[in-house]
Amino acid sequence: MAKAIQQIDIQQATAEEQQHKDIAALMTQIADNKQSISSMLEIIEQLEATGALDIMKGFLSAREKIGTIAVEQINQPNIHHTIKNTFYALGFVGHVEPEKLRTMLESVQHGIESASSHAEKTEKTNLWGLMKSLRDPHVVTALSTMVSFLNGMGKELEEKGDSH
Amino acid sequence: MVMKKVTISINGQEIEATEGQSIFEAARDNDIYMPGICASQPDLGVGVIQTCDTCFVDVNGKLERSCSTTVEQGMKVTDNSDKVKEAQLEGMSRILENHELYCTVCDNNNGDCVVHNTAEHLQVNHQKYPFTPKPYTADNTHPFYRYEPDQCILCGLCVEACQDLQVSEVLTIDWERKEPRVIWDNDVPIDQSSCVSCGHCVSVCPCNALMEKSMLGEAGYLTKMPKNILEPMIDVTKEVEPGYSGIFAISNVEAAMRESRIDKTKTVCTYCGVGCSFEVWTKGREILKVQPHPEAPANGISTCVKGKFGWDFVNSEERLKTPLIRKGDKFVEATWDEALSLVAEKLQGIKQENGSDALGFIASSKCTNEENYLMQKMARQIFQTNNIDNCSRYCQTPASAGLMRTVGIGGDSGTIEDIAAAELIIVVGANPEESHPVLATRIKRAHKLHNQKLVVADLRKNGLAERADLHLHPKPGTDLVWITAVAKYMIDQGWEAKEFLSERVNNVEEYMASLDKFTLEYAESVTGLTQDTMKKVAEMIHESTATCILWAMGVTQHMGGTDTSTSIANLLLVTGNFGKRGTGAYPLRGHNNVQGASDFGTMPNFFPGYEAVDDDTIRSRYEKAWETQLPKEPGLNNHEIVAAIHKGSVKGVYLFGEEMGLVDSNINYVHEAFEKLDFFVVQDIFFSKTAQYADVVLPAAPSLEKEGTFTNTERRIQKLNKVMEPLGDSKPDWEIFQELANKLGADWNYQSPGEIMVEAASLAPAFAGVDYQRLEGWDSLVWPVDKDGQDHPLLYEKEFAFPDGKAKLFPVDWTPPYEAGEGYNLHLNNGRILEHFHEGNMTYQSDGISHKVPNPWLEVSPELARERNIETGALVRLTSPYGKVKLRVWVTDQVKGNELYLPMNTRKEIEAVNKLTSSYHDKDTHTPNYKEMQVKMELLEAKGESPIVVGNFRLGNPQPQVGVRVSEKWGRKDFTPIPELIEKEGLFDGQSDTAN
Repeated sequence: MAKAIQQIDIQQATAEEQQHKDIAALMTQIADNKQSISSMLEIIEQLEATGALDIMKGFLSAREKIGTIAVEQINQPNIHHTIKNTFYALGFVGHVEPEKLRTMLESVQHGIESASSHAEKTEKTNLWGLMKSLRDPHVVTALSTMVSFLNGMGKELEEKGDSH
Repeated sequence: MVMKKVTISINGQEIEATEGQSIFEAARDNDIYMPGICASQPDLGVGVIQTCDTCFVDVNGKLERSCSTTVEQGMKVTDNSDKVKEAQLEGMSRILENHELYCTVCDNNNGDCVVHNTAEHLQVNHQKYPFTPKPYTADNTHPFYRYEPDQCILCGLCVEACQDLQVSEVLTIDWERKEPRVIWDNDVPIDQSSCVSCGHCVSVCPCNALMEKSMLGEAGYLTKMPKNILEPMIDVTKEVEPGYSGIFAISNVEAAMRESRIDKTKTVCTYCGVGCSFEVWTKGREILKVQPHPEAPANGISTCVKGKFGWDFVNSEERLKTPLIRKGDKFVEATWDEALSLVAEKLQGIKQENGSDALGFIASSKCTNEENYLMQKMARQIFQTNNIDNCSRYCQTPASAGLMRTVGIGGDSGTIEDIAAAELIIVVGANPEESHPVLATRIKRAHKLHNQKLVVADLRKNGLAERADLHLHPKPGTDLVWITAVAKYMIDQGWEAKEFLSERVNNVEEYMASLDKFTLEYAESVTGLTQDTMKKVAEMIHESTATCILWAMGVTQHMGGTDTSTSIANLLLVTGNFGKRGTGAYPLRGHNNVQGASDFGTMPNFFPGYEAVDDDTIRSRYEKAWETQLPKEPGLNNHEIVAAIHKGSVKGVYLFGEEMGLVDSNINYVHEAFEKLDFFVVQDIFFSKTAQYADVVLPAAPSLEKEGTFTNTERRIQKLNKVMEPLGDSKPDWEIFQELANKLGADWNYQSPGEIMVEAASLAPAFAGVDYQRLEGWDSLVWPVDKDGQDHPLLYEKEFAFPDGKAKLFPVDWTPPYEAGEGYNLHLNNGRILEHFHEGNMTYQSDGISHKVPNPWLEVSPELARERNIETGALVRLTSPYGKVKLRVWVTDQVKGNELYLPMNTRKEIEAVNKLTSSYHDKDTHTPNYKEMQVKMELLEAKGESPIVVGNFRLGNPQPQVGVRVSEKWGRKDFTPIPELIEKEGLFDGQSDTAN
């Protein structure tokens, strides 16, 4: 005896009721995680006190603008160079054997110390004195190391020149 | 067929390969990775296309493509020499000239991007040829997918899939132009092309050039970034990159992170009987995409528009979320407890007062096997009635009945593989290209590429008819006559399968004697087909060694539907076309679980597995298991239930998952019946037309929200898994049945659908070995399934399903179709269209589909249009003795003369074809004669907008060709074959990870 009907009474306290339901569910969740939530609140308090929150707020609300500016700044030739050079420098450092580098760096350190004490002395070194110092075995070692270095570098430069 | 094995060596490692395989396939089968972007998906059903050039290997000292070089005994293959690496790297570099690598901010970075993975494997570190954008903008016109030419590597997998797998023949690559690209039709925006939105191209794209729009900005963590930040960021990355290895490292991390929030769940499609399975990618309730898989047994990587893109309805605002109870002239929301208590009380009351048979149960061919099993158990065990039926009554019961008469099993004789392997396909009264799209692709492919012959008998020149070697257009409702005449002619010629008939078939003499009247002359006069045409069909069957006949509602929805189905089986028996590969009878099931609903017992005369309820031995098996007496007499079917309501003997109905108020024939009569019910329960996902008559409406969960199994047209049982939780308070149907049953004291305790299947398998011998463990992943079972899990994809190899193992020829006679009478002078044909499912409750919820097809239309032939002075866009009224409808006209030569075609897909009564159909029915199974109606047509408005809108593929302009035509690429002036280049340039760099 039932005619076709289309009207459906949706119990429309829905918005409010739904909110109540959601809040109730949240409350349970909060109660279940009391310790972690109160720690989090303390952290937020500190962030607020130091003004960090304010900075973050500003940053987030302008995120698209800042993103654009940042990317624009990064997308410049000199920054490209910086980034690239960083990669190369890192690559260089990565390739050198640590022990060798240590010896070299320590030698350089000694060299610097000796050089600066020499500079402090203010007395002039004449040509004779310079020639004399070439007999010094330390100087000879340093110089022959330098020559080997130049040799290696020259070879590499030559190869690169060929291939270009 | 046992394939010969050969031994080859790859990098010195001896491996076994199958003769005829490519090196690429042999390596893959032995778990040796070889790069190969266009060959990386050889299981897709897409051919070897040789466009990407990343798969070069050294074969006996020569560079060859591994994808197109066939293995030979003793072949020595290397892919780790410097020369090979150089060749592969050259191929990859050419690809990267067309494809910008910004993986981390790409929505396709999901771990399965073939371009990414190949570049990474080859340790590509820098771009040899700099990437240059193409002079084309992205095409975003299609509602479901986009094409980005700048990312397109021109591998042509999409073209191959469109041309040779889906065979819609829309996509090509124009190799002629300076900058080649993929084009649609003759270079029109995608949305205006003949693209049928099947999604093949998107599913096979090895990168992000073709992508589902639902993925864009959603799949990745960083992909939603605004363009003004994203683009300079890509620039920076490219400018400073330390080599691609860094990019790959980061993108791999990002891809791994995506796994934590994107779920990939295998399910089975609900949109037709083909039974496509695929993964649904979801983020919460949001569907990111549907991804088919080569291992899916029915469809591989194929889908149609509905399966690939038509799932928006699951999140529709219109979904039912709480139970509703009728109070006066409106429905009010109720709790499950209130609603189910009311249902229990009322149905129990009717049973007590008027007897068990005052109740009727209507089950759903859209729901799972387990749910259908529970519904019939509830009807029989708790309510003690066999008054239960499902919607196969509206479509396919006559086909099942015809097959049970002749070969014994009411289902397809083989699988889609047999259909693809047949030499001759005959399609009668079916439009698979729109109703079973993925199955149709297998026929179109075999016909286009593998010499399969195709005969289509249909009133309309539908898609397959257009391609057919022979299109028959018999007078409506006369198929039995020409089919039987062809059988008789073949016997007269001595072309019958004599040995087969004498060894495997009973009743031959009686059948032969019944043929006397079916001469070609008689058939010509009844069907209007010429004798030559029928002879031609006979010759084609005679010349073919393997013939399949496919049919659907054009055969079954007639007063003689069962007999015509029987005549098809007779013809196949006479010609010996059963029990071997590529042969058999294929009634194409309309809905996803038409086969399964009947298989699992929602029929008035059968328990699950087609075991008769009035057989005492069988019934006692169920009585023992269910611990109760069960009714012996077969119950009422759908049609009889409606009649019984009118008569007053059925007073309460429980219906689930069926829009009976729109899809039953003669709906005015059905609506009147609903109005007379004392109590009516409707369980659905939407507030359907039928629900408007209900006393209680129960909100159900659709397939994506539950677990279970469906059985497709092949008899293939496949498991669907829960993709997401039920929406609101809706519940899976099986849970609802269980809760109701327990309110009635049944004490059912199924924890999951798997437990229901265990019970069904223990009771029905046909499903003895069906077990969820055998249905994991892409595994499936084609029933009958033996206890040990052995299934039977091809039936009747040794015996037919009768006690003596022999088939039975079953004489049938022609039943002239219904005549509406004087003045009703136009024949009304009806059926589906590709884009919508059924009445459209689900598919009209998709904005994209509604954009393409917002409404149905009436197809009118050019002849009739001229005669009546009607043009496309005119508004007409059709009147039958049962009702009226109003629609806009599309004039098309798909229909002929005085025959009209009206798609059934509408939710509006004023357009609903079943306002016009009658309650006459198949004399054997009571399936309505939907296809037998004549109407009058009046012109209401001479002009109007075309009902076929821009975006409809029917307005497109396909460009058929075979494959992607790689030879045109090789013929370009700027193309140097890679082996030639490697020879010329010499080995200048053996280290592929060195920068220069």
